[in-house]
Formats: sequence, C-alpha cells, structure tokens
Amino acid sequence: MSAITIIGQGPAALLAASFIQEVQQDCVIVADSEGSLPLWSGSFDFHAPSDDISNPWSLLDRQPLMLPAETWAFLWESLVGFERAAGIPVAADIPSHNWWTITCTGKSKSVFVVPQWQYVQKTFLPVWFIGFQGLADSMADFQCHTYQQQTGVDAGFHVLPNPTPWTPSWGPIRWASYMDTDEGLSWLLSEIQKVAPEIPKTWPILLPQVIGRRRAEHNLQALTTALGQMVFEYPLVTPSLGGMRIRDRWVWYLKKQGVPFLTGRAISVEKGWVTLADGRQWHSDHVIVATGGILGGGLEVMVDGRLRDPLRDTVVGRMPPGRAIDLYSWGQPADYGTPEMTACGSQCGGWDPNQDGNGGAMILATVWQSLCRTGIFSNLGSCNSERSVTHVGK
Amino acid sequence: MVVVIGAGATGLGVARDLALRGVKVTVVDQWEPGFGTSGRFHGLLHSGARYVVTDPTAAEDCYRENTLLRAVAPDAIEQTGGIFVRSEDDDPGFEQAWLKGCDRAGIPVTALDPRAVRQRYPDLTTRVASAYWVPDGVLEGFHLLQMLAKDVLAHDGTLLSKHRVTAIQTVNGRVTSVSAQGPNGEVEVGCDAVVNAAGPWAGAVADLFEDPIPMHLSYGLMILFAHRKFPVVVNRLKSPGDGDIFVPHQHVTILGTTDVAQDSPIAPDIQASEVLRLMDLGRELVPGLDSWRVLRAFTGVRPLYDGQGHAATSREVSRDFKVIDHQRRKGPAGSFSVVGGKWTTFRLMAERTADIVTQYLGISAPCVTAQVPLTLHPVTSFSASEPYLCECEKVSASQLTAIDGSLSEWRTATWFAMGPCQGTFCAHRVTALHHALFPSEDSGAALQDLRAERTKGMLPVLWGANAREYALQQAVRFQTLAEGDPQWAGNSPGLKNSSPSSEGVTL
Ligand SMILES: Cc1cc2nc3c(=O)[nH]c(=O)nc-3n(C[C@H](O)[C@H](O)[C@H](O)COP(=O)(O)OP(=O)(O)OC[C@H]3O[C@@H](n4cnc5c(N)ncnc54)[C@H](O)[C@@H]3O)c2cc1C
Ligand SMILES: Cc1cc2nc3c(=O)[nH]c(=O)nc-3n(C[C@H](O)[C@H](O)[C@H](O)COP(=O)(O)OP(=O)(O)OC[C@H]3O[C@@H](n4cnc5c(N)ncnc54)[C@H](O)[C@@H]3O)c2cc1C
Repeated sequence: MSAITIIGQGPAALLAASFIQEVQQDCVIVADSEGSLPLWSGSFDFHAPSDDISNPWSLLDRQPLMLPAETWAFLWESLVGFERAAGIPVAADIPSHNWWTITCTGKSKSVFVVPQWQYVQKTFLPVWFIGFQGLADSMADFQCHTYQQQTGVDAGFHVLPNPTPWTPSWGPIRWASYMDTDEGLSWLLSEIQKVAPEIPKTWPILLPQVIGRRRAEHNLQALTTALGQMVFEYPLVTPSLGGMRIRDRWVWYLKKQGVPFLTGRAISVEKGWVTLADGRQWHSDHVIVATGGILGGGLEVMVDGRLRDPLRDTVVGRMPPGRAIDLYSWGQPADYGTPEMTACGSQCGGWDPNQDGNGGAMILATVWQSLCRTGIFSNLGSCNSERSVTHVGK
Repeated sequence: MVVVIGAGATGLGVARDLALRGVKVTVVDQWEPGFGTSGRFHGLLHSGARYVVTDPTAAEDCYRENTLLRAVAPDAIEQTGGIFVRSEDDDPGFEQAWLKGCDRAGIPVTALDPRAVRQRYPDLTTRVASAYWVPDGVLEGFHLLQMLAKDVLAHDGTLLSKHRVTAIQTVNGRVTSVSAQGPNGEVEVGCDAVVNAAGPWAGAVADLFEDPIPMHLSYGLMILFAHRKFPVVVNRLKSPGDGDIFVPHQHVTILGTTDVAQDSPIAPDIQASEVLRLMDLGRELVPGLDSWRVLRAFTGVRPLYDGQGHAATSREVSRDFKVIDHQRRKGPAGSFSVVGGKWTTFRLMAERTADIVTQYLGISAPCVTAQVPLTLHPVTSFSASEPYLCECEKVSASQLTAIDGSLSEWRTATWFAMGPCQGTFCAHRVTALHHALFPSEDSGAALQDLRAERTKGMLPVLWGANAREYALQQAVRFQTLAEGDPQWAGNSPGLKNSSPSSEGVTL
C-alpha cells in the first residue's frame, strides 16, 4: 500500500496529507470520525498567551517547539496556499500581527489566519450585530452588551424573526442549508432591509455564522452589494459552519489530488503494520498519527488517571492526583519512541492551545516535525533548524 | 412570628408545618433553598431497611414517612422499589438479623430468586447469593424543596434568601428578633421564636444561642453516571457501609457514598484517592463499572447529632433526630434546634418541632402535614415554537423565564447544564437569557460561577468519555468563547462576592 499512512482526518492530518501530495508522494488517510474542524470556526491561531497577545512573531521563543521565523513563515504560507488551492477564501498575505474577532458572547478574541467570511478587526470599532430569534447561539442583545462593556465602543443589534419554514428543530446546519437557497437569501436580505435605516452606514453588519454551507461567500457578497454596507459572519459554537466549509473543501481538494480516504478505526500500529478493527491490515514505511489526543480519541484516560495510547497499548503517563487541569498538554512525544511512527496535532504532548492560543501553530509545527522525520521535506526546506523536540505533559 | 433558619428539607418542612397551623413564618437562608445537604444527597427515599439492624428507631421512622410521603407528595417521588442483594462475599449472618429487623419494623420484604435477579440486572455481579425486594423509592429533592417553598409562600410565609443569620436578640431572656446579613446590609426580623434548622451549620447557629450542641459532621462522596442503569434502587445487603447503594435518579444513576468525619460544615475538595476507593467498592456490586459513562462527582455533609458524646465513626451515630428546646438548657426562651435525621424523615422532624414551638407560643393547632397533599406546579409547559437551549436536558427559554430566580435557581429547577455536556453548549446561552431578564445582575460572574461548579464536579472523575467531554468543554470555553481571557476578568467585579464559597459540589 502507500508509503505513508495518516491516521485521523482532523486539521493536522489534512495538512500533513497536503504537504505529502505536494511532493507527489503517496499517502492514505484512515479515520473513524470526522475530526475537530466541525467543532470550531477554522481560524488558525498563532500565539496569544494571556499575558501578551500583541504580536505572535515576537514570541517565537515561547512556543513549545522553537523554529526560526523563516520556517514559521514557510509553514503559514503553505497553509494559506493549501487553503486557497482548496477554494477557502483566506488572504494571500500572511498576517504580521494578530486580529480581533468577536465571539457570539461578544468577547474579543485574538486570531491569526482567518477566512474572509469571518469578521476581524485590528482595533475595536463600532459594529452592528444581527441575531436570529430561532438560533440558540445567536444572542445579539447579550453580545452587543458585552462588546460595548468590554471595549467601550458603540454597537447596536437587531434580532430577526424566524422565516416561515423554520421549526424548533433548526440547528446551525439546517439554517445554513436554508441560506444556500435563493429563498433563504431573499428572506435574509428583506429582513435586514427592514431594519437597515437604523444601522449607521459605515458600521459593518455581523451575522451569525450560518449564512450558507456552499454559498456563504456568494451570499455575503450579495448582501454587501445590495445593502451598500460590509457584511460578515461571527463564529458560533458547534456545529461550526466555518470549520465545516473548510473541512468540506479541503477534503474534496485532497481527494481530487488522488489522496484516498478510508473509514475505519485503527487498533494497532506495529513495525509499520496498520491494523483496523474490521480486520483490514497493511504495511507502510511511515505512519503519521494525527489522532487528536484525549479529545480526538487518540488517548484514553483510565479510571486511575493513566493515559493509554490504544494504538500501541502503552501508557503515556499518569495524571497527577486531583486530576490534570491542563490535560490538553498531555500527549505522545513527536517521535513516538519508535522509528516508523510520528505524532502530530493534538496527539503531541507539550502544547496547550487553551492557555496559549496557539492551536493553529501547534498543528503547523507538529506536522512539520513529523514530516521532517519522514524525509519528505528534503526537497522543500531544511529540517535542521528545529531545536527542542520532545514533550510529554507541560 | 417564627423565624426558621435554613431552607433545607428540615427548615422548609418546619416552616410549612407551622404555616399550615396558622403561624406566621419567615425562612432565612444564607443562600438558596437546597444550598445545604438537601441539595447534595443521594436521592433515596429510604424504606428503612438499611437501618433495621444498626438503627431501628430511624428505620421505623423512615418506613412510616416513606409510606406517608408517597401518599401526600407523589409528584416528588418515584416509586421504583429497591432490592437488597447479598454477594457471596458478604456475611450470611447479617442477612438473618436483617430479615428479623425488617419484620420487627414492619417493613415488607419479598425474597427474590438470585438467578432471576442476575438475569434481570445483567450489570450486577454474578456472585449474587440472595436478593430481596423492599419499598425503597427515589426522592426528587429539588422538586420537593420547591413544593415546600411554594406552599410556605401560599400560606402567608416569607422566604428571605441570601441572608445569613449572624445574631439573635433577646429581652429578659426571651428571643425577640434575629439579625441577618444580606447583599444590601443587615436586616432585623422581629419574632417570638427561632428554629435552628441549619443542617451542618446547626452548631454555629446554636453558638448564637450561647448553648452549644455536639454535632458530628461527616461528608459523603457520590458519583453520578449517565443512563438509568437500574430501574430500582440497588442496596448491598450488609452492615451499612461505604459505596453500597446505587440510586436511579431520573435518567442518571448515583453511586454512594462515603463517610469521612470533619469539623467544617463545608466538604473539602474531592480527593482522587477517595474517588478510586468508591469506584473499587462500587465494582464489587457492578464489576463493569469502569465502562459506565461517568458524569461527575459531588459531596454532601451529614448534619448528625452526637447526643451520647463521641462515637468512633459517624456510621455509628444514629440517623435519628432530636429537637432541642434551648430554654431547658442554657439558651434563651423561644430558641429551638432540630438536628440529625434524614431527608426521608423531614416531615416527621418538622411535626415534632412544630409541636414544641406551638406549645411554647400557646397555640393549639394540630399538625396536618400527614394529610394535606403537596403538589408540584409545573413550571411551564414547553412551547412548540422555540428551540431547546439545553439539549441534554431538553430545557427551553420559556421554561426558564417563568422562574423568578438566580441562574443557579434556574439550574436546580430545570436541570439545565446537568446532562452529559455539563453546560458546554448551553451555559452561555442561558446566561444571555438570564441577563436579558435581570440586566442588573453580573452575568459574567454568574457564568463563571456556573462553569466553576461544573468543573469541580467533572475534574475528580476525569476518565473515559468524561475526559473527552471535559477536553471539548475546555476548548469551547477558552478557544471559542475566550472565557479565560484575564484582561476581561477585571470587568466582573461581582466574581469575588457572588456566592458563598462552598468547597462541596452540588448535585
Ligand atoms: C471546540 C474547539 C475550538 C477550537 N478553537 C480553535 C481556535 O480558535 N483556533 C485554533 O487555532 N484552533 C482551535 N481548535 C483546534 C485545536 O486547538 C487543535 O489544534 C485541533 O483540534 C487539533 O486537531 P487534530 O487534527 O490534531 O485532531 P482532531 O481534529 O481531533 O482529529 C483526530 C482524528 O483522529 C481520528 N482518530 C482518533 N483515533 C483513531 C483511531 N484509533 N483510528 C482511526 N482514527 C482515529 C479521529 O476520527 C479524528 O479524525 C479548536 C478545537 C476545538 C475542539
Ligand atoms: C452524602 C449524603 C447522602 C445522603 N443521602 C440521603 C438519602 O439518600 N436519603 C435521605 O433520606 N437522606 C439522605 N441524606 C441525609 C439528608 O440529605 C440530610 O439529612 C438532610 O438533607 C438535611 O437537611 P437539613 O434541612 O437539615 O439541612 P440542609 O439541607 O443543610 O439545610 C440547612 C440550610 O441552612 C442554611 N444555613 C446554615 N446556616 C445559616 C445561617 N447562619 N443563616 C441562614 N441560613 C443558614 C444553609 O444554607 C442550608 O440551606 C444524605 C446525606 C449525605 C451527606
């Protein structure tokens, strides 16, 4: 079978596969579920530790894996390049600083590489929030209140009534499929037009992130043109249409490049032999384990606090008494302690994106680390620049 | 006018009993109904069978009250029935003593075929040696507290939440008023008598009467699992000990409990070692316990009264209760305490207390709580035109907005944020809704409190699917909703003085 097997299909797996297909190597992806992208908006963060959120480029020495600025630039440019090739609208230039986005609860959160459908700003500006009455995570009144209170800037809001076909079972995905229809778009436009006279012309209008699954950019553009005013989305919780759009397009792009996607649960990896629960088995020169750590299913926490890696049937560590608050930072060392396997993404130890706001950087750096070991970067760039490597826990 | 200190089962029970006899009452609680042990218990409406050997008085009281409550408060009771199973490892001698005890206490017991029991409840150990059916039930504590509180209000009573009683005033050796500290300063409530129903804090309140009472406090740990794993209460047939009862509570199952003596009315942080010990004990009845989907752990403090002096362990302290007229000891006239007992016996405790208080007040009115039914006024029915805010527990906005209360009262009344996701996807939604109704309250602080409370319950049982859920919750809170951003924390001035610090974890 393929020279490289990737286990998992979260963002780390998709990024690893993108690099591999770019150098025309074979790889196969096998996963038992869809990965984390549908759980978040897909805005890749660089670094925003709570004590210093100013400029991630000036904090490179505080990342768990020390890479020189050129390598980071190469990685971010590659991500942006893959996303654009897959039809995900991100700006061509990599940012020189963090942006602010606004959460559905009205807080400002720093982000780095963000698709253009999502609202970001450099400093706090007046905005107009729109909520949908029948969408639980759009809470425009509260959002507006929090935003004003925390930034001291002016803001306004409207809550739109439900469209005729709406029923209480509508979640974000159903809302988005409605917006993918002409009927949905014209409902939205006419409802906003009713309240538009109250909205100052220079303020951007922010909508909940359900403005279509396939047609989001088209819809936002149509609204912007018709209203003569900028229109963007703010991210919700889950399921997240932003992440789903990225996942849909990225997977489609890789499939078009010939990367096979298998569905199945890996139960062991031994000397390059990958075994699935349904009995399939094959050999690869290298196995990239992008199984997502505790959240992704790549590590199991046992009753007594031991962390077990089911693929190797080994215990990675044991949570300290009282149980780890920072369980995110637990994981495998990148080299997995065995030559033919590497870990990347959340399966790697030593990273804590909850605290450090570096979820995207973690994916980039650990995929880089993994691929350096496979040797596929020999014609892409130097792998010698990495300085610190292994972490288990923080 | 009578002031009752404490809005737990006991205090609200006393207040209702007095109110039904025509006495004017004010119930004062330092926080909210259910803040104490009555909101952190195992949920078992005892048949009394557990105590027939070690504590026959408590057993008889439990059985009588069990029968009574099923008749007068059916909305708050699920008549599941219960089984006692003896494992091959347990002492058969105890079984004989137990059968005799049940007979003496008049508790109906039916012998079951152990093989049939194993077949019917495949989660049970295969080592079941004998099994019996008893009339155990499940008590919906928060429902019953609400029902009691509503009835007190309906009978001209008053409920003063978020006020801690700090002093008792007397004139010529008689109680005349109590002072309580609340969010807007001190209030003084005039009264003819005071009833101390402060549960684990009863010792501290008795000190205000300058007549200390010997309390024996101990806390118990419980672990809550998703799914109704058994349709009946499952007890282990041995001398009452730790980790020997599983209670099906709505659609979850609670394993309990432990018994650790302590001095403070507030339980300490849950120790991992104790969780493991309780799991070990639970596994003796349910060998596959590790594979059950754990949700969280919580603790409650037993307000037992140690009248005889010092018992070696609190399992030896009677579950019986005691009404103290402090005037007969060192306290002022018109001061009473009611201590000990069980949730199951709250009505009886209230009756005895109210008998003594009315006698003191010179009122002759008989107790009617054994006859007058209590009903649950359904909060509101779900309107088909709105989405659920809490999908795990199926709670909609109109159910919540019908309740005039704090975020935590919304939670205990509807169970939002109590399901498998422990608030991951609904806490911010409900906070926003609460904010719309009560804009002056600090919603940021209330959300933080709610998160902290859920976290406390999840952390000690961080394994399996619960660890994954917790990881997701953390990512949603900190990566999606930016809740950890300390630069905003300064905007939540209410954080520090919002709820009284409680190390225990509520159900
Ligand atoms: C709620 C949430 C919000 C987030 N917000 C942000 C953000 O704002 N900014 C940011 O940069 N990042 C964010 N992230 C991303 C996060 O920080 C991680 O970087 C990311 O989730 C890691 O992805 P991964 O590919 O390593 O694992 P996952 O996406 O979890 O993928 C794991 C994959 O492994 C598969 N798998 C596991 N075990 C097996 C097995 N035995 N056999 C087969 N397949 C298996 C699973 O099916 C899955 O496909 C967020 C994540 C979440 C969950
Ligand atoms: C782990 C555990 C499991 C249990 N399981 C069961 C069971 O399954 N079945 C059963 O029948 N019983 C059970 N019990 C026993 C039962 O829960 C208690 O006996 C009962 O809840 C006690 O109620 P209470 O009203 O006396 O005390 P509490 O509920 O503690 O009420 C006292 C109230 O007084 C208030 N207060 C205290 N001091 C002041 C002050 N100075 N000013 C104002 N207010 C004040 C507190 O805020 C509190 O709300 C269990 C107990 C424990 C600990």
